[in-house]
Amino acid sequence: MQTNFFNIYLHYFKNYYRSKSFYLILIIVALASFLMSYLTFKYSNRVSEMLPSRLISLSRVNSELLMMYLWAYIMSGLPVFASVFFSSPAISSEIEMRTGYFIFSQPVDRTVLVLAKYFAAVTVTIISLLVYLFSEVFSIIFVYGFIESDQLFWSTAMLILFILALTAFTFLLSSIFNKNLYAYITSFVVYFVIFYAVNLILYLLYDYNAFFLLNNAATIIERVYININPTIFTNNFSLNPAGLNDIVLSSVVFIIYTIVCLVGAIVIVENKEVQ
Amino acid sequence: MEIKFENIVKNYGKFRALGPLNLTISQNGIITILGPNGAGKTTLLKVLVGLAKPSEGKIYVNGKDFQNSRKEILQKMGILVEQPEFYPYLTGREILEFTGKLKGLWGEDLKKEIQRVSEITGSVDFLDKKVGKYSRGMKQRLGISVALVNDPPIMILDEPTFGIDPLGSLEIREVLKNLNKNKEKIILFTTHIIEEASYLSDRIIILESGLIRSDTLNDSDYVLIKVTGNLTNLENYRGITFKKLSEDQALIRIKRNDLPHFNREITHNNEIMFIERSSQVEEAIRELSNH
Repeated sequence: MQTNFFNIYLHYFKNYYRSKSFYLILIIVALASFLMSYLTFKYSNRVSEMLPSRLISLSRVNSELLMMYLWAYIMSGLPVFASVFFSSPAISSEIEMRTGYFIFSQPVDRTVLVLAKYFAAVTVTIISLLVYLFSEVFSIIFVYGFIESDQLFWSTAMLILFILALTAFTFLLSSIFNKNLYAYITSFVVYFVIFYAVNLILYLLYDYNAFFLLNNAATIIERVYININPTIFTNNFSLNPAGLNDIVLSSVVFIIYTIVCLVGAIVIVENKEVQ
Repeated sequence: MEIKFENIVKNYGKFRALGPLNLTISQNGIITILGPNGAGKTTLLKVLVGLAKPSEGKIYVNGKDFQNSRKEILQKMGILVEQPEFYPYLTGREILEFTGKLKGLWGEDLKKEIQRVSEITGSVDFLDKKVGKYSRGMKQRLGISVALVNDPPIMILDEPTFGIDPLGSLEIREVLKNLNKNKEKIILFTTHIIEEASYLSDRIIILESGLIRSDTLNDSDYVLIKVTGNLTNLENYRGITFKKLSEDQALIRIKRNDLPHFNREITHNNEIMFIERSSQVEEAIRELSNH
Protein backbone atom coordinates (compact mmCIF):
# COMPACT_ATOMS: atom_id res chain seq x y z
CA MET A 1 0.00 0.00 0.00
CA GLN A 2 2.84 2.38 0.88
CA THR A 3 4.47 1.78 -2.50
CA ASN A 4 1.22 2.38 -4.36
CA PHE A 5 0.56 5.46 -2.29
CA PHE A 6 3.94 6.96 -3.09
CA ASN A 7 3.64 6.04 -6.76
CA ILE A 8 0.24 7.73 -7.04
CA TYR A 9 1.40 10.68 -4.95
CA LEU A 10 4.34 11.30 -7.30
CA HIS A 11 2.12 10.80 -10.35
CA TYR A 12 -0.27 13.55 -9.23
CA PHE A 13 2.45 15.75 -7.80
CA LYS A 14 4.23 15.84 -11.19
CA ASN A 15 0.98 16.61 -12.97
CA TYR A 16 0.25 19.42 -10.50
CA TYR A 17 3.58 21.18 -10.51
CA ARG A 18 3.80 21.13 -14.30
CA SER A 19 0.29 22.54 -14.67
CA LYS A 20 -0.58 26.10 -15.68
CA SER A 21 -2.56 26.47 -12.42
CA PHE A 22 0.65 26.04 -10.44
CA TYR A 23 2.44 28.80 -12.32
CA LEU A 24 -0.60 31.06 -12.08
CA ILE A 25 -0.66 30.64 -8.31
CA LEU A 26 3.09 31.24 -8.17
CA ILE A 27 2.59 34.53 -10.01
CA ILE A 28 -0.21 35.57 -7.61
CA VAL A 29 1.91 34.65 -4.60
CA ALA A 30 4.96 36.42 -6.04
CA LEU A 31 2.86 39.54 -6.63
CA ALA A 32 1.54 39.49 -3.05
CA SER A 33 5.10 38.95 -1.79
CA PHE A 34 6.35 41.90 -3.82
CA LEU A 35 3.60 44.21 -2.55
CA MET A 36 4.14 43.23 1.08
CA SER A 37 7.92 43.54 0.73
CA TYR A 38 7.39 47.03 -0.74
CA LEU A 39 5.18 47.96 2.22
CA THR A 40 7.73 46.58 4.67
CA PHE A 41 10.73 48.35 3.17
CA LYS A 42 9.00 51.63 2.46
CA TYR A 43 6.74 52.07 5.49
CA SER A 44 8.34 50.00 8.23
CA ASN A 45 8.54 52.92 10.65
CA ARG A 46 5.26 54.57 9.79
CA VAL A 47 2.91 51.60 9.68
CA SER A 48 1.31 52.49 13.06
CA GLU A 49 0.53 56.04 11.88
CA MET A 50 -1.34 54.64 8.89
CA LEU A 51 -3.87 52.77 11.01
CA PRO A 52 -7.49 54.02 11.17
CA SER A 53 -8.44 55.86 14.34
CA ARG A 54 -10.55 52.88 15.52
CA LEU A 55 -7.35 50.87 15.72
CA ILE A 56 -5.17 53.63 17.09
CA SER A 57 -4.35 51.59 20.17
CA LEU A 58 -2.43 49.32 17.82
CA SER A 59 0.21 52.00 17.65
CA ARG A 60 1.34 50.75 21.04
CA VAL A 61 2.36 47.47 19.43
CA ASN A 62 5.86 47.39 18.11
CA SER A 63 5.86 47.95 14.40
CA GLU A 64 7.69 44.69 13.63
CA LEU A 65 4.89 42.65 15.22
CA LEU A 66 2.29 44.76 13.45
CA MET A 67 4.05 44.23 10.14
CA MET A 68 4.18 40.47 10.70
CA TYR A 69 0.46 40.56 11.53
CA LEU A 70 -0.19 42.24 8.19
CA TRP A 71 1.98 39.70 6.35
CA ALA A 72 0.06 36.88 8.04
CA TYR A 73 -3.29 38.54 7.31
CA ILE A 74 -2.55 38.42 3.59
CA MET A 75 -1.00 34.96 3.95
CA SER A 76 -4.21 33.49 5.39
CA GLY A 77 -6.07 34.40 2.19
CA LEU A 78 -3.57 32.91 -0.25
CA PRO A 79 -4.21 29.23 0.54
CA VAL A 80 -7.85 29.72 -0.40
CA PHE A 81 -6.88 30.53 -3.96
CA ALA A 82 -4.18 27.89 -4.13
CA SER A 83 -6.37 25.15 -2.65
CA VAL A 84 -9.31 26.03 -4.84
CA PHE A 85 -7.14 25.98 -7.95
CA PHE A 86 -5.50 22.66 -7.13
CA SER A 87 -8.20 20.84 -5.20
CA SER A 88 -11.56 21.97 -6.54
CA PRO A 89 -11.10 20.02 -9.75
CA ALA A 90 -9.34 17.12 -8.02
CA ILE A 91 -12.16 14.61 -8.35
CA SER A 92 -14.55 16.35 -10.73
CA SER A 93 -11.85 16.63 -13.38
CA GLU A 94 -11.33 12.86 -13.34
CA ILE A 95 -14.90 12.61 -14.59
CA GLU A 96 -15.03 15.70 -16.80
CA MET A 97 -11.63 15.15 -18.40
CA ARG A 98 -12.29 11.40 -18.65
CA THR A 99 -9.06 10.45 -16.88
CA GLY A 100 -11.32 8.52 -14.47
CA TYR A 101 -11.61 5.74 -17.05
CA PHE A 102 -7.89 5.23 -16.67
CA ILE A 103 -7.30 5.88 -12.99
CA PHE A 104 -10.39 4.22 -11.52
CA SER A 105 -9.76 0.99 -13.41
CA GLN A 106 -6.27 0.61 -11.95
CA PRO A 107 -5.67 -2.12 -9.36
CA VAL A 108 -5.58 0.23 -6.41
CA ASP A 109 -8.06 1.16 -3.69
CA ARG A 110 -9.87 4.40 -4.33
CA THR A 111 -9.15 5.44 -0.75
CA VAL A 112 -5.43 5.32 -1.54
CA LEU A 113 -6.05 7.28 -4.74
CA VAL A 114 -7.91 10.05 -2.91
CA LEU A 115 -5.37 10.27 -0.08
CA ALA A 116 -2.38 10.31 -2.43
CA LYS A 117 -3.93 13.01 -4.60
CA TYR A 118 -4.90 14.96 -1.49
CA PHE A 119 -1.34 15.02 -0.17
CA ALA A 120 -0.02 15.92 -3.62
CA ALA A 121 -2.39 18.91 -3.68
CA VAL A 122 -1.36 19.90 -0.14
CA THR A 123 2.31 19.69 -1.12
CA VAL A 124 2.01 21.94 -4.17
CA THR A 125 -0.08 24.42 -2.17
CA ILE A 126 2.60 24.62 0.49
CA ILE A 127 5.38 24.89 -2.10
CA SER A 128 3.60 27.74 -3.86
CA LEU A 129 3.29 29.62 -0.55
CA LEU A 130 6.95 29.17 0.34
CA VAL A 131 7.79 32.13 -1.91
CA TYR A 132 5.65 34.34 0.30
CA LEU A 133 7.02 32.90 3.53
CA PHE A 134 10.65 33.38 2.44
CA SER A 135 9.88 36.94 1.32
CA GLU A 136 8.34 37.67 4.71
CA VAL A 137 11.29 36.30 6.67
CA PHE A 138 13.81 38.06 4.44
CA SER A 139 12.00 41.42 4.51
CA ILE A 140 11.37 41.43 8.27
CA ILE A 141 14.94 40.41 9.16
CA PHE A 142 16.41 42.87 6.67
CA VAL A 143 14.32 45.82 7.89
CA TYR A 144 14.07 45.12 11.62
CA GLY A 145 17.18 43.05 12.15
CA PHE A 146 15.30 40.27 13.96
CA ILE A 147 12.09 38.22 13.72
CA GLU A 148 9.56 36.96 16.27
CA SER A 149 10.46 33.34 15.67
CA ASP A 150 7.99 31.83 18.18
CA GLN A 151 5.05 33.60 16.62
CA LEU A 152 6.34 32.82 13.14
CA PHE A 153 6.51 29.14 14.07
CA TRP A 154 2.92 29.08 15.36
CA SER A 155 1.64 31.09 12.42
CA THR A 156 3.30 28.70 9.95
CA ALA A 157 2.07 25.64 11.84
CA MET A 158 -1.48 27.01 11.81
CA LEU A 159 -1.11 27.83 8.13
CA ILE A 160 -0.22 24.20 7.37
CA LEU A 161 -3.18 22.92 9.39
CA PHE A 162 -5.41 25.40 7.57
CA ILE A 163 -4.14 24.15 4.19
CA LEU A 164 -4.84 20.55 5.22
CA ALA A 165 -8.40 21.45 6.28
CA LEU A 166 -9.15 23.68 3.31
CA THR A 167 -7.81 21.15 0.81
CA ALA A 168 -9.91 18.40 2.39
CA PHE A 169 -12.93 20.69 2.27
CA THR A 170 -12.46 21.45 -1.44
CA PHE A 171 -11.84 17.74 -2.13
CA LEU A 172 -15.21 17.00 -0.57
CA LEU A 173 -16.93 19.59 -2.76
CA SER A 174 -15.05 18.31 -5.80
CA SER A 175 -16.18 14.75 -5.18
CA ILE A 176 -19.81 15.84 -5.29
CA PHE A 177 -19.60 17.32 -8.77
CA ASN A 178 -18.77 15.95 -12.20
CA LYS A 179 -17.93 19.38 -13.64
CA ASN A 180 -14.91 21.45 -12.64
CA LEU A 181 -16.71 24.75 -13.00
CA TYR A 182 -19.37 23.78 -10.46
CA ALA A 183 -16.67 22.68 -8.03
CA TYR A 184 -14.71 25.96 -8.48
CA ILE A 185 -17.76 28.16 -8.04
CA THR A 186 -19.13 26.23 -5.09
CA SER A 187 -15.78 26.31 -3.28
CA PHE A 188 -15.49 30.09 -3.67
CA VAL A 189 -19.12 30.78 -2.83
CA VAL A 190 -19.11 28.56 0.26
CA TYR A 191 -15.88 30.04 1.57
CA PHE A 192 -16.33 33.72 0.68
CA VAL A 193 -20.12 34.07 0.89
CA ILE A 194 -21.69 31.35 3.01
CA PHE A 195 -19.03 31.21 5.73
CA TYR A 196 -18.76 34.99 5.97
CA ALA A 197 -22.55 35.43 5.95
CA VAL A 198 -23.07 32.84 8.68
CA ASN A 199 -20.29 34.39 10.70
CA LEU A 200 -21.75 37.87 10.34
CA ILE A 201 -25.32 36.84 11.10
CA LEU A 202 -24.36 34.87 14.19
CA TYR A 203 -22.22 37.73 15.45
CA LEU A 204 -24.70 40.53 14.79
CA LEU A 205 -27.82 38.69 15.92
CA TYR A 206 -26.49 36.63 18.77
CA ASP A 207 -23.12 38.20 19.56
CA TYR A 208 -21.72 34.75 18.93
CA ASN A 209 -18.26 34.17 17.50
CA ALA A 210 -18.65 31.20 15.13
CA PHE A 211 -15.26 29.69 15.90
CA PHE A 212 -16.18 26.49 14.04
CA LEU A 213 -16.22 28.17 10.63
CA LEU A 214 -13.12 27.57 8.57
CA ASN A 215 -12.58 31.22 7.69
CA ASN A 216 -12.90 32.18 11.33
CA ALA A 217 -10.49 29.50 12.51
CA ALA A 218 -8.02 30.64 9.82
CA THR A 219 -7.65 34.01 11.55
CA ILE A 220 -5.41 32.26 14.06
CA ILE A 221 -2.65 32.53 11.42
CA GLU A 222 -2.44 36.29 12.08
CA ARG A 223 -3.86 36.28 15.63
CA VAL A 224 -0.72 34.59 16.92
CA TYR A 225 0.89 38.03 16.43
CA ILE A 226 -1.93 40.30 17.63
CA ASN A 227 -5.25 38.89 18.76
CA ILE A 228 -7.53 40.78 16.38
CA ASN A 229 -10.08 38.80 14.44
CA PRO A 230 -10.64 40.66 11.17
CA THR A 231 -13.81 38.71 10.35
CA ILE A 232 -15.91 40.21 13.17
CA PHE A 233 -16.77 43.81 13.99
CA THR A 234 -15.57 44.52 17.48
CA ASN A 235 -13.52 46.97 19.41
CA ASN A 236 -12.79 44.32 21.98
CA PHE A 237 -9.47 42.95 20.96
CA SER A 238 -6.21 42.18 22.59
CA LEU A 239 -2.85 43.55 21.61
CA ASN A 240 -1.29 40.40 22.93
CA PRO A 241 -0.77 37.33 20.77
CA ALA A 242 -3.54 34.74 20.79
CA GLY A 243 -3.08 32.34 23.68
CA LEU A 244 -2.58 28.61 23.65
CA ASN A 245 -6.32 28.06 24.13
CA ASP A 246 -7.06 29.89 20.90
CA ILE A 247 -4.36 27.94 19.08
CA VAL A 248 -5.70 24.62 20.37
CA LEU A 249 -9.29 25.55 19.51
CA SER A 250 -8.40 26.50 15.93
CA SER A 251 -6.22 23.41 15.57
CA VAL A 252 -9.12 21.20 16.66
CA VAL A 253 -11.42 22.92 14.14
CA PHE A 254 -8.85 22.35 11.36
CA ILE A 255 -8.35 18.72 12.31
CA ILE A 256 -12.07 18.00 12.47
CA TYR A 257 -12.61 19.62 9.06
CA THR A 258 -9.73 17.60 7.63
CA ILE A 259 -10.95 14.25 8.93
CA VAL A 260 -14.67 14.73 8.28
CA CYS A 261 -14.19 16.16 4.78
CA LEU A 262 -11.64 13.53 3.76
CA VAL A 263 -13.84 10.69 4.98
CA GLY A 264 -16.79 12.25 3.15
CA ALA A 265 -14.78 12.61 -0.06
CA ILE A 266 -13.55 9.01 0.17
CA VAL A 267 -17.06 7.64 0.73
CA ILE A 268 -18.38 9.57 -2.27
CA VAL A 269 -15.47 8.56 -4.52
CA GLU A 270 -15.77 4.90 -3.48
CA ASN A 271 -19.34 4.94 -4.78
CA LYS A 272 -18.74 7.18 -7.76
CA GLU A 273 -19.43 5.87 -11.24
CA VAL A 274 -17.52 7.07 -14.26
CA GLN A 275 -20.04 8.25 -16.81
CA MET B 1 -9.57 -17.82 -16.62
CA GLU B 2 -13.31 -17.42 -16.51
CA ILE B 3 -15.55 -14.38 -16.50
CA LYS B 4 -19.13 -14.88 -15.44
CA PHE B 5 -21.93 -12.32 -15.52
CA GLU B 6 -24.82 -13.48 -13.37
CA ASN B 7 -28.18 -11.74 -13.86
CA ILE B 8 -26.49 -8.41 -14.43
CA VAL B 9 -28.76 -5.40 -14.70
CA LYS B 10 -27.65 -1.79 -14.98
CA ASN B 11 -30.18 1.00 -14.70
CA TYR B 12 -29.53 4.72 -15.03
CA GLY B 13 -32.54 6.16 -13.24
CA LYS B 14 -35.53 4.60 -14.94
CA PHE B 15 -33.56 3.74 -18.06
CA ARG B 16 -32.35 0.17 -18.26
CA ALA B 17 -29.02 0.25 -20.06
CA LEU B 18 -28.16 -3.41 -19.61
CA GLY B 19 -29.70 -6.76 -18.80
CA PRO B 20 -30.84 -8.89 -17.34
CA LEU B 21 -27.78 -10.56 -18.73
CA ASN B 22 -26.14 -13.91 -18.13
CA LEU B 23 -22.90 -14.64 -19.85
CA THR B 24 -19.96 -16.92 -19.25
CA ILE B 25 -16.62 -16.52 -20.96
CA SER B 26 -14.40 -19.45 -20.17
CA GLN B 27 -12.40 -20.07 -23.32
CA ASN B 28 -9.39 -18.01 -24.29
CA GLY B 29 -9.49 -16.08 -27.52
CA ILE B 30 -11.01 -12.91 -28.85
CA ILE B 31 -14.58 -12.47 -27.77
CA THR B 32 -16.29 -9.58 -29.46
CA ILE B 33 -19.28 -7.68 -28.19
CA LEU B 34 -20.87 -6.37 -31.33
CA GLY B 35 -23.76 -3.99 -31.50
CA PRO B 36 -24.97 -0.60 -32.63
CA ASN B 37 -24.40 2.56 -30.64
CA GLY B 38 -26.39 2.52 -27.42
CA ALA B 39 -26.60 -1.27 -27.34
CA GLY B 40 -24.95 -1.42 -23.92
CA LYS B 41 -21.49 -2.60 -25.01
CA THR B 42 -19.53 -0.01 -23.07
CA THR B 43 -21.86 -0.30 -20.07
CA LEU B 44 -21.15 -4.03 -19.99
CA LEU B 45 -17.40 -3.40 -19.89
CA LYS B 46 -17.72 -0.58 -17.36
CA VAL B 47 -19.64 -2.88 -15.04
CA LEU B 48 -17.01 -5.57 -15.56
CA VAL B 49 -14.09 -3.33 -14.57
CA GLY B 50 -15.83 -1.52 -11.72
CA LEU B 51 -16.32 1.85 -13.40
CA ALA B 52 -20.06 1.36 -12.93
CA LYS B 53 -21.84 -0.69 -10.31
CA PRO B 54 -24.46 -3.21 -11.41
CA SER B 55 -27.97 -2.41 -10.20
CA GLU B 56 -28.53 -6.14 -9.82
CA GLY B 57 -26.49 -9.30 -10.20
CA LYS B 58 -22.88 -10.26 -9.70
CA ILE B 59 -19.72 -10.66 -11.69
CA TYR B 60 -17.27 -13.43 -10.98
CA VAL B 61 -13.75 -13.67 -12.34
CA ASN B 62 -12.19 -17.07 -11.75
CA GLY B 63 -14.93 -17.71 -9.23
CA LYS B 64 -14.18 -14.58 -7.23
CA ASP B 65 -16.84 -11.96 -6.69
CA PHE B 66 -15.65 -8.73 -8.29
CA GLN B 67 -17.07 -6.55 -5.51
CA ASN B 68 -15.05 -8.41 -2.89
CA SER B 69 -11.85 -8.93 -4.87
CA ARG B 70 -11.76 -5.83 -7.05
CA LYS B 71 -8.07 -5.04 -6.66
CA GLU B 72 -6.91 -8.62 -7.15
CA ILE B 73 -9.05 -9.04 -10.26
CA LEU B 74 -7.96 -5.73 -11.79
CA GLN B 75 -4.33 -6.85 -11.41
CA LYS B 76 -5.11 -9.54 -13.97
CA MET B 77 -6.78 -7.20 -16.41
CA GLY B 78 -5.52 -4.82 -19.05
CA ILE B 79 -8.21 -2.23 -19.60
CA LEU B 80 -9.07 0.30 -22.23
CA VAL B 81 -12.59 1.63 -21.75
CA GLU B 82 -14.06 4.45 -23.80
CA GLN B 83 -11.67 6.79 -25.56
CA PRO B 84 -9.12 7.27 -22.81
CA GLU B 85 -7.68 10.53 -21.59
CA PHE B 86 -4.49 10.79 -19.61
CA TYR B 87 -2.94 13.48 -17.45
CA PRO B 88 -1.87 16.19 -19.89
CA TYR B 89 1.33 17.29 -18.13
CA LEU B 90 2.80 13.80 -17.98
CA THR B 91 4.56 11.97 -20.79
CA GLY B 92 3.37 8.69 -22.23
CA ARG B 93 6.40 7.01 -20.64
CA GLU B 94 5.44 8.38 -17.22
CA ILE B 95 1.90 7.06 -17.66
CA LEU B 96 3.27 3.61 -18.52
CA GLU B 97 5.73 3.73 -15.60
CA PHE B 98 2.88 4.60 -13.28
CA THR B 99 0.73 1.72 -14.57
CA GLY B 100 3.67 -0.71 -14.46
CA LYS B 101 4.47 0.15 -10.86
CA LEU B 102 0.84 -0.38 -9.84
CA LYS B 103 1.16 -3.82 -11.43
CA GLY B 104 4.32 -4.60 -9.52
CA LEU B 105 7.00 -3.84 -12.12
CA TRP B 106 10.11 -1.86 -11.13
CA GLY B 107 13.57 -1.01 -12.40
CA GLU B 108 14.90 -2.79 -15.47
CA ASP B 109 11.83 -5.02 -15.76
CA LEU B 110 9.66 -1.94 -16.00
CA LYS B 111 11.89 -0.31 -18.63
CA LYS B 112 11.87 -3.46 -20.74
CA GLU B 113 8.11 -3.81 -20.43
CA ILE B 114 7.56 -0.20 -21.50
CA GLN B 115 9.78 -0.79 -24.51
CA ARG B 116 7.94 -4.02 -25.35
CA VAL B 117 4.40 -2.61 -25.18
CA SER B 118 5.26 0.61 -26.97
CA GLU B 119 6.88 -1.33 -29.80
CA ILE B 120 3.80 -3.51 -30.11
CA THR B 121 1.49 -0.50 -30.40
CA GLY B 122 3.86 1.68 -32.41
CA SER B 123 4.06 4.40 -29.78
CA VAL B 124 7.84 4.49 -29.24
CA ASP B 125 8.32 7.71 -31.22
CA PHE B 126 6.06 9.89 -29.10
CA LEU B 127 6.49 8.23 -25.72
CA ASP B 128 8.53 11.13 -24.28
CA LYS B 129 6.11 13.85 -25.37
CA LYS B 130 3.58 15.24 -22.92
CA VAL B 131 0.17 13.62 -23.36
CA GLY B 132 -1.44 17.06 -23.74
CA LYS B 133 0.20 17.26 -27.16
CA TYR B 134 -1.05 13.85 -28.34
CA SER B 135 -3.54 13.36 -31.16
CA ARG B 136 -6.61 11.15 -30.63
CA GLY B 137 -4.86 8.25 -32.35
CA MET B 138 -1.71 8.62 -30.25
CA LYS B 139 -3.80 8.57 -27.07
CA GLN B 140 -5.56 5.46 -28.31
CA ARG B 141 -2.23 3.73 -28.93
CA LEU B 142 -1.03 4.77 -25.49
CA GLY B 143 -4.28 3.41 -24.05
CA ILE B 144 -3.66 0.04 -25.67
CA SER B 145 -0.06 0.11 -24.40
CA VAL B 146 -1.38 0.74 -20.87
CA ALA B 147 -3.72 -2.24 -21.24
CA LEU B 148 -0.82 -4.43 -22.39
CA VAL B 149 1.47 -3.65 -19.45
CA ASN B 150 2.53 -6.77 -17.55
CA ASP B 151 0.93 -9.03 -20.17
CA PRO B 152 -2.41 -9.53 -18.35
CA PRO B 153 -4.36 -12.77 -18.93
CA ILE B 154 -7.56 -10.78 -19.50
CA MET B 155 -7.77 -7.78 -21.78
CA ILE B 156 -10.80 -5.54 -21.91
CA LEU B 157 -10.77 -3.28 -24.94
CA ASP B 158 -13.58 -0.91 -25.79
CA GLU B 159 -13.49 0.04 -29.47
CA PRO B 160 -9.68 -0.06 -29.59
CA THR B 161 -9.45 1.20 -33.17
CA PHE B 162 -11.65 4.22 -32.53
CA GLY B 163 -10.02 7.47 -33.59
CA ILE B 164 -7.13 5.78 -35.33
CA ASP B 165 -6.55 6.36 -39.04
CA PRO B 166 -7.38 3.46 -41.41
CA LEU B 167 -3.78 2.26 -41.65
CA GLY B 168 -3.40 2.50 -37.87
CA SER B 169 -6.64 0.56 -37.42
CA LEU B 170 -5.27 -2.26 -39.55
CA GLU B 171 -2.09 -2.25 -37.46
CA ILE B 172 -4.07 -2.42 -34.21
CA ARG B 173 -6.12 -5.30 -35.60
CA GLU B 174 -2.91 -7.13 -36.40
CA VAL B 175 -1.66 -6.43 -32.87
CA LEU B 176 -4.79 -8.02 -31.45
CA LYS B 177 -4.56 -10.89 -33.89
CA ASN B 178 -0.97 -11.54 -32.80
CA LEU B 179 -1.86 -11.30 -29.14
CA ASN B 180 -4.41 -13.99 -29.75
CA LYS B 181 -2.04 -16.21 -31.76
CA ASN B 182 -1.50 -18.72 -29.00
CA LYS B 183 -4.92 -18.30 -27.43
CA GLU B 184 -3.36 -17.55 -24.06
CA LYS B 185 -5.65 -14.71 -23.11
CA ILE B 186 -9.26 -13.73 -22.93
CA ILE B 187 -9.50 -10.61 -25.07
CA LEU B 188 -12.93 -9.11 -24.64
CA PHE B 189 -13.49 -6.24 -26.98
CA THR B 190 -16.35 -4.19 -28.31
CA THR B 191 -16.88 -2.80 -31.74
CA HIS B 192 -19.64 -1.70 -34.03
CA ILE B 193 -17.55 -2.56 -37.08
CA ILE B 194 -18.64 -5.93 -38.38
CA GLU B 195 -15.54 -6.48 -40.53
CA GLU B 196 -13.35 -5.97 -37.48
CA ALA B 197 -15.42 -8.42 -35.46
CA SER B 198 -15.38 -11.06 -38.14
CA TYR B 199 -11.67 -10.70 -38.82
CA LEU B 200 -10.60 -11.00 -35.21
CA SER B 201 -13.18 -12.95 -33.29
CA ASP B 202 -13.31 -16.45 -31.98
CA ARG B 203 -16.74 -15.72 -30.61
CA ILE B 204 -19.19 -12.93 -31.31
CA ILE B 205 -21.88 -11.78 -28.95
CA ILE B 206 -24.43 -9.42 -30.37
CA LEU B 207 -25.88 -6.95 -27.94
CA GLU B 208 -28.97 -4.92 -28.64
CA SER B 209 -30.87 -2.71 -26.20
CA GLY B 210 -28.81 -4.14 -23.37
CA LEU B 211 -29.68 -7.76 -24.12
CA ILE B 212 -27.78 -10.55 -25.79
CA ARG B 213 -29.45 -11.19 -29.13
CA SER B 214 -27.03 -13.70 -30.46
CA ASP B 215 -23.98 -15.59 -29.32
CA THR B 216 -21.99 -17.64 -31.80
CA LEU B 217 -21.08 -20.04 -29.00
CA ASN B 218 -24.71 -20.97 -28.44
CA ASP B 219 -25.84 -20.54 -32.02
CA SER B 220 -23.58 -23.11 -33.60
CA ASP B 221 -26.37 -24.15 -35.99
CA TYR B 222 -26.59 -20.65 -37.34
CA VAL B 223 -24.27 -18.12 -38.88
CA LEU B 224 -24.54 -14.39 -39.22
CA ILE B 225 -24.38 -12.65 -42.54
CA LYS B 226 -23.77 -8.98 -42.92
CA VAL B 227 -25.64 -7.15 -45.61
CA THR B 228 -25.21 -3.58 -46.66
CA GLY B 229 -27.29 -1.30 -48.81
CA ASN B 230 -30.58 0.54 -48.53
CA LEU B 231 -32.42 -1.18 -45.72
CA THR B 232 -34.97 1.50 -45.02
CA ASN B 233 -38.00 -0.56 -46.01
CA LEU B 234 -36.75 -3.92 -44.91
CA GLU B 235 -37.74 -5.17 -41.52
CA ASN B 236 -38.44 -8.82 -42.17
CA TYR B 237 -37.77 -10.34 -45.55
CA ARG B 238 -39.33 -13.73 -46.32
CA GLY B 239 -39.15 -14.81 -42.76
CA ILE B 240 -35.40 -14.29 -42.41
CA THR B 241 -34.41 -12.85 -39.04
CA PHE B 242 -33.13 -9.40 -39.67
CA LYS B 243 -31.03 -7.36 -37.16
CA LYS B 244 -30.54 -3.80 -38.29
CA LEU B 245 -27.33 -2.21 -37.07
CA SER B 246 -27.92 1.01 -38.92
CA GLU B 247 -29.84 2.29 -41.93
CA ASP B 248 -27.45 0.56 -44.30
CA GLN B 249 -26.07 -2.36 -42.31
CA ALA B 250 -27.82 -5.42 -40.99
CA LEU B 251 -27.15 -8.91 -39.83
CA ILE B 252 -29.07 -11.90 -41.07
CA ARG B 253 -29.12 -15.10 -39.15
CA ILE B 254 -29.30 -18.19 -41.34
CA LYS B 255 -28.85 -21.89 -40.90
CA ARG B 256 -25.30 -23.10 -41.27
CA ASN B 257 -26.46 -25.97 -43.48
CA ASP B 258 -27.62 -23.47 -46.04
CA LEU B 259 -24.21 -21.90 -46.39
CA PRO B 260 -22.86 -24.04 -49.26
CA HIS B 261 -25.69 -22.82 -51.48
CA PHE B 262 -24.72 -19.21 -51.25
CA ASN B 263 -23.30 -17.07 -53.94
CA ARG B 264 -19.56 -16.78 -54.52
CA GLU B 265 -19.70 -13.10 -53.65
CA ILE B 266 -20.04 -14.15 -50.08
CA THR B 267 -16.70 -14.55 -48.38
CA HIS B 268 -16.21 -16.89 -45.52
CA ASN B 269 -14.25 -15.95 -42.44
CA ASN B 270 -14.49 -17.39 -38.96
CA GLU B 271 -18.09 -18.52 -39.30
CA ILE B 272 -19.22 -15.06 -40.29
CA MET B 273 -20.39 -14.42 -43.78
CA PHE B 274 -20.18 -11.13 -45.56
CA ILE B 275 -21.77 -9.59 -48.54
CA GLU B 276 -19.32 -6.81 -49.13
CA ARG B 277 -20.16 -3.67 -51.03
CA SER B 278 -23.60 -4.97 -51.96
CA SER B 279 -25.71 -1.99 -52.86
CA GLN B 280 -28.80 -4.03 -53.57
CA VAL B 281 -29.62 -5.81 -50.40
CA GLU B 282 -32.92 -7.09 -51.74
CA GLU B 283 -31.13 -8.92 -54.49
CA ALA B 284 -28.74 -10.40 -52.01
CA ILE B 285 -31.51 -11.62 -49.78
CA ARG B 286 -33.41 -12.96 -52.74
CA GLU B 287 -30.33 -14.89 -53.68
CA LEU B 288 -30.07 -16.28 -50.22
CA SER B 289 -33.68 -17.28 -50.00
CA ASN B 290 -33.75 -18.81 -53.49
CA HIS B 291 -31.29 -21.49 -52.45
